[in-house]
Amino acid sequence: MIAVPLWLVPAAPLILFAATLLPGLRPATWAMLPVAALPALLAALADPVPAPVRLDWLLFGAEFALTGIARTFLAFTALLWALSGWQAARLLAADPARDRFLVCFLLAMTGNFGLLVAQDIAAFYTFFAMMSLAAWGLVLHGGGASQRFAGRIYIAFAVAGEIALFAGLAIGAFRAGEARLAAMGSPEVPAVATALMAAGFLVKLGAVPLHHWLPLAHAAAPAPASAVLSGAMLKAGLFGLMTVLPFGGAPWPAAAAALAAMALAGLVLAPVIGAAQGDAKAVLAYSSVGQMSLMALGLAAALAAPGIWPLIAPALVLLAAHHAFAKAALFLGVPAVWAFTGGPRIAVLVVLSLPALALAGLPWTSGWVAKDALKTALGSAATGWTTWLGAALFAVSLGTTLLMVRALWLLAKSVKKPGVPQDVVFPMLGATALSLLGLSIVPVDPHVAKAATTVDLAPYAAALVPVLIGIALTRRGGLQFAPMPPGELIALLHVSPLPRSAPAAPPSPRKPRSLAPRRSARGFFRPDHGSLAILGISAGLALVMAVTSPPASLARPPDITERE
Amino acid sequence: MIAMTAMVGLGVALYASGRGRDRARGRADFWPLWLMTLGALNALFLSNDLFNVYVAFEILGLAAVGLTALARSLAAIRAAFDYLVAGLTGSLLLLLGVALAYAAAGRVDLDAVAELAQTAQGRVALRLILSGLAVKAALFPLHFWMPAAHSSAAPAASALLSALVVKAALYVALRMSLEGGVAVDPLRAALAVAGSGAMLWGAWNALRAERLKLLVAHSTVAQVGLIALALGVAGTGPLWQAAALLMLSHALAKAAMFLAVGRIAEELGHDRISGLNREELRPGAAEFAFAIAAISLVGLPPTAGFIGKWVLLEGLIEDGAWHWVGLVLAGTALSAAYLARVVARCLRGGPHVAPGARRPAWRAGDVAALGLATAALLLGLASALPFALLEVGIA
Amino acid sequence: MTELLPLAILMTSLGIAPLILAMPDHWRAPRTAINLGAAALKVALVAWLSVAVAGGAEFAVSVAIAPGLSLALQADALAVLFLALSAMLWLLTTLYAVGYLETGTDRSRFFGFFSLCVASTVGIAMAANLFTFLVFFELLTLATWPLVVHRGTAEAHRAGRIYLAYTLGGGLALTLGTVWLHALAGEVPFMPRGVLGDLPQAEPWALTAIFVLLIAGVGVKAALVPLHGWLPISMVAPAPVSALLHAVAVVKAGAFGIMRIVYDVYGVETVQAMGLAGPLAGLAALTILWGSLRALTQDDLKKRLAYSTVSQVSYITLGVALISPLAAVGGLAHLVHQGIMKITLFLAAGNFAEGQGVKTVSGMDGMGRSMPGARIAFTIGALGMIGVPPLAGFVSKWYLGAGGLDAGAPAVVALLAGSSLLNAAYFLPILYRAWFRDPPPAPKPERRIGWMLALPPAATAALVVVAGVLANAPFSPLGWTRFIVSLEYL
Repeated sequence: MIAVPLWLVPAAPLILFAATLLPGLRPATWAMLPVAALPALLAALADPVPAPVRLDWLLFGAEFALTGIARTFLAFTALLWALSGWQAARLLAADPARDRFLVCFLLAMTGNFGLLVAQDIAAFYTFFAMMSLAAWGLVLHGGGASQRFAGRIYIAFAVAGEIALFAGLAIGAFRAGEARLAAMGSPEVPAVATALMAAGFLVKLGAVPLHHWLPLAHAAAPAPASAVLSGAMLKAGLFGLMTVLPFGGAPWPAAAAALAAMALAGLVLAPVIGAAQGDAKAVLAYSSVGQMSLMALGLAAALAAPGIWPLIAPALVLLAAHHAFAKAALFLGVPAVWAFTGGPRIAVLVVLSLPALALAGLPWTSGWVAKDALKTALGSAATGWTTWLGAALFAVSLGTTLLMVRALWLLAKSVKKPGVPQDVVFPMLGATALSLLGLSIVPVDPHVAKAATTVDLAPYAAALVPVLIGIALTRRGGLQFAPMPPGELIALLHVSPLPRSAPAAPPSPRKPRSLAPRRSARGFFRPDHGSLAILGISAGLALVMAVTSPPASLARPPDITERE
Repeated sequence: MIAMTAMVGLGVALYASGRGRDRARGRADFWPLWLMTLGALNALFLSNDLFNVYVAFEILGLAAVGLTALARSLAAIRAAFDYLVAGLTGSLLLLLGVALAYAAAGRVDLDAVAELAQTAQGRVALRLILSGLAVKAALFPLHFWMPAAHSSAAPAASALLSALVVKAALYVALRMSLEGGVAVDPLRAALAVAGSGAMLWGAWNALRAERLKLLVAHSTVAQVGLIALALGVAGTGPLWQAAALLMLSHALAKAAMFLAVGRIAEELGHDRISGLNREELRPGAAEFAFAIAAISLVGLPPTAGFIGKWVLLEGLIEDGAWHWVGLVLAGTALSAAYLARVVARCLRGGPHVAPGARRPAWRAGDVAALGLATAALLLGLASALPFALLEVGIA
Repeated sequence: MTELLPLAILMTSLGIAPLILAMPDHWRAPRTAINLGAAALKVALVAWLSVAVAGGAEFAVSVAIAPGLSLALQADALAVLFLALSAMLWLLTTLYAVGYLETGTDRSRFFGFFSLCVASTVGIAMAANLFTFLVFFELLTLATWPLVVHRGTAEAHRAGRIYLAYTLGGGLALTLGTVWLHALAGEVPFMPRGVLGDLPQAEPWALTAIFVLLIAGVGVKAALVPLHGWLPISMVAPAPVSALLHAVAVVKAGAFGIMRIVYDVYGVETVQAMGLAGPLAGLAALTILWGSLRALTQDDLKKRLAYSTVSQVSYITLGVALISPLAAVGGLAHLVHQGIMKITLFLAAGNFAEGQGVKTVSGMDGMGRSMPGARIAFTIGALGMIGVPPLAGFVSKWYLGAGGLDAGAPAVVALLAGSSLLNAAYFLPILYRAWFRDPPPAPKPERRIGWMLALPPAATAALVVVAGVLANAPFSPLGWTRFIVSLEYL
């Protein structure tokens, strides 16, 4: 293996980004897009892990290193970005605004790689923000009404999340007295800081009350962008949570309960709402909500019983990698299906059913292995969690199956889109292959799953029942099914869009003189919708944080036992 | 005190050279009157005797009336007549006062002032002298003659009148106040009250003035008020230096301002403030001189006016005389307001200026005005010099 | 020779002002040559000075002008920070102004007062005592007025009147405060950790009143909230003037004044002991929020930027008022960072107005495609204002947040979070419109943007990136502010 200096991992896409500034180099940049992820992949797979790099001049003194779980995350993230970049280069070949997409894509890639290798807070936050903001451009790319709406919601959530993260990191760094990211999980960090950081990451993760942006954004973005959003960027939220939550210390039941409640809500809501969607990408997005909730459940269990963290962490990584590959394959499959009709389309759908089944966790798939790993880890937890676990895993299997059937069904019915080149199918095939074999490529702790029993098939059997009923109703009863718009509550806003702000009225002749009383009514411009949304959501976020975080003050004594 | 006189003499000389060039196009009658004015002023500054002062004032008054009438317009002659009457009234009061003083103290040197304040008769005498001076200095409420006279006279004449003739009376008041010591406190209080009234009244009228020269003349009323206020509150302390510095700075700035106004009116053909932003004329050096003079009059750094106000305020604060501080600040704000009216219009540009607008040519008057204004500006930076001279004067 | 370096720096702009004022309008080449030459010379001199100061050299020039009053210049580290900012941005703004006003009228007047304006800024930076500071502060007021009314329209004149009313009012308050302080304490030189000695115990009330007067005086220029009304109105000035007003000269002079008063006249300990820091911080917080809220509702691009300035400059005040070394680093660094970010925004906005006549937020649709260069600069500036890492704004916000915690005021973190939210709320829609909306069908009038207009915003945008990314490098604004703060707090 070639020794890759770690700084090259985020720098490679950044160099390509610099190249896009010269219009003459842009075609070459498009061709190089998948290669940008290569240093990251090489670094992740290198056998002696690349040595840490310290760059004193950068920001507040940046440090890059590849530690523990980050390796796995970097490996599957790099693979995903490479495949998506490949498909994006093909899919958007004729798009007039392709260069804009390229810039955003490269910046988001830089951010995603960078945050996995960054060791200090400033660099981590920089890359995290870079990823979030650049992804805004990916969501907005299509330029249609739904993209605009999704973009507004996305940026509102993203900014609110970023700021919560900023506040949390600032408080945490100050209290811990050091700026290393690893210190954020230490007991000196007050609960308020942890809660703020977690809120920032939970937004990214798509945990239930904070997930509204997710289906909208995934449905609005071009398929390759959705693939990385779902496969890689959501995982950044998970990565963040695994880094900053205090898993090594004393149990923290209040936080665990809050997190578990969010996770369970997600597990139940995602399939119900997702199955009612009319857009395949939205269905897949809801499935992501469900899967990420499962991971959040694992985190909750580890918070309640820190003893099992060494078991849970690898299981979560496994689950994340598996979900990344399978979900990316499905998203990349969407344009592949659009490109064909008839027989080839059926073939594509059959191939797509493999990651779909894996995602559902059918026995003998990677999904089964991952879920079993989680189950084993949770099984060793303290009492109380196993009972939840059974129900949760049952729900997730049932729900995912439903969603997968629904997604494939919608895809099968979708009309062929002209202008989608047929070779977009290759990245999809690559991702499918990864979803079958990927877990043996990326550096994870192997897990030998126990053999499946008939009992384990029960959820799938159960899932068949509503599917059959649904089919029967639509076929025989002539019942028409009106799909729900993605985004639930927020989508209601979308139904009746607020009127566009009036064109600039001439300024009123009297100017504000703050010392004198106003003499004339001043024209008041309604802020742009995005601003309203941001304000509303930040208020909501504050509320959520107030509810989820234990009533801890900043002046919490360093005594850890208080969390009990 | 000789040094102080020399200082003012220097100001006069500087001014006179400017005047000389300016009057190259003027009438021959001007020169005798001008020399007479200067001579009277020098006599006044050098005299140490109330009667000499009176004589000098008579000469000065006559010369000044002549100067006012020089414009030869009906308004100017009427104003000159008013001035004559007022001047004579003032002289009469002065004479009466001097006579009484002689009766009371048996001598009329300025040193006798302290002595005079001891007796009732002497106090009456002082009061009379002071009101005579007030008329001469156009101190509110005896200023009625002044705006008309100064605004209708030729610019060169009004510059002399406003910058120097008015100062003469104030100078004498300063001398009396210095010599009088603690004993003349009531008189000083009256001076301060009248000064503050003048400051506000003059500023108010200047704000409302429609003609440029009238505005400047009213501004003289206000500035005289400020100086009188400074004299009044100075007591025997070092604050009189502030008053002296203010006098100097006002002399320079106001002369510059009148000359600039003269040039502006000459170029424009009128001196209405609302008509200052004429389309075909771009602002020239005169406007610039006006602006600098305005800065000095308002008392913004780094001009001498600023230093004077600074010393005045510092002294007032040390004495805890907060009402006077408030008045001085109010006067400053008002003067900024009325002068900004003019300066803002000098900054015309954009749509108000026709593309082919001409710039006025340089004339000697511009040079004189600009030179005086610059002197007012530099006097602030070099105000260590007058202060040193004043220290000598007191010693 | 080197003792005269501060004087030489002052003269590079003060000396040329009368020269330029006296020039006829059509002497374009010599005027431009003098302007740019002097600006470049100043940058070189300031660079020389800063190297010398970093090496421990001290510069002081003093002229006594009256008993107890002297005009004195010095070059301490704080002065150098402000000097470097103004020298560099002056060069760029001059370049921009030359390009911007190519066809305008009264150019000699404009550039003359422009130089005078910078001269007073430089004087403010190097003032060694409160009196000198006051002199240059008032000079700045006067020199800026002709620039504000430069366009000569009725609107410009009204803006000029309001500007003058506010700033002269502030000047009066400042003068009164200064005189009073002189009466109490004699001459007031600027010294780290304050010059008042035991006076606060003796005269607590008088000193509190003086503090209020002084802060109100400089607060007008720093646009602290009840005194900020002039700033959005003076947006009628030409773009380079707004840029200079907001980034370097007037607003910064106010903020710099607050620094001098708190650090070098009163001293942080005294300010804290007198209980004045808290109200000042509260005022700054109020200003930050109020400015942002008002910015949300503006459709005129320059007005939105103006309210944003109101809000951002108070970060500096906040950093000073939170008595904590970390916050001080944040505030001082923001002095520079806000300068380069805001000048980028204004110059880019000027280019939009020049190039396509776009002056409103709602007219921004599709600007990214038609004017990518200016738009990229604007984007960098806006993201920096929001505090997106790794740009300059993030660095100062980070330190301010840490400083707030350090000073025991965790509410500051909430304030920063709220303000960042608001910043995002008023900047992101502009970016969104420019990059993701299609341009309106009707073609806009286009004027070619020459290199003189295109280069300065690009250069300042690059500075924004560099100041953030290389924050830890020794000669970055952050590195320099750490040096200053170590003098004040150690």
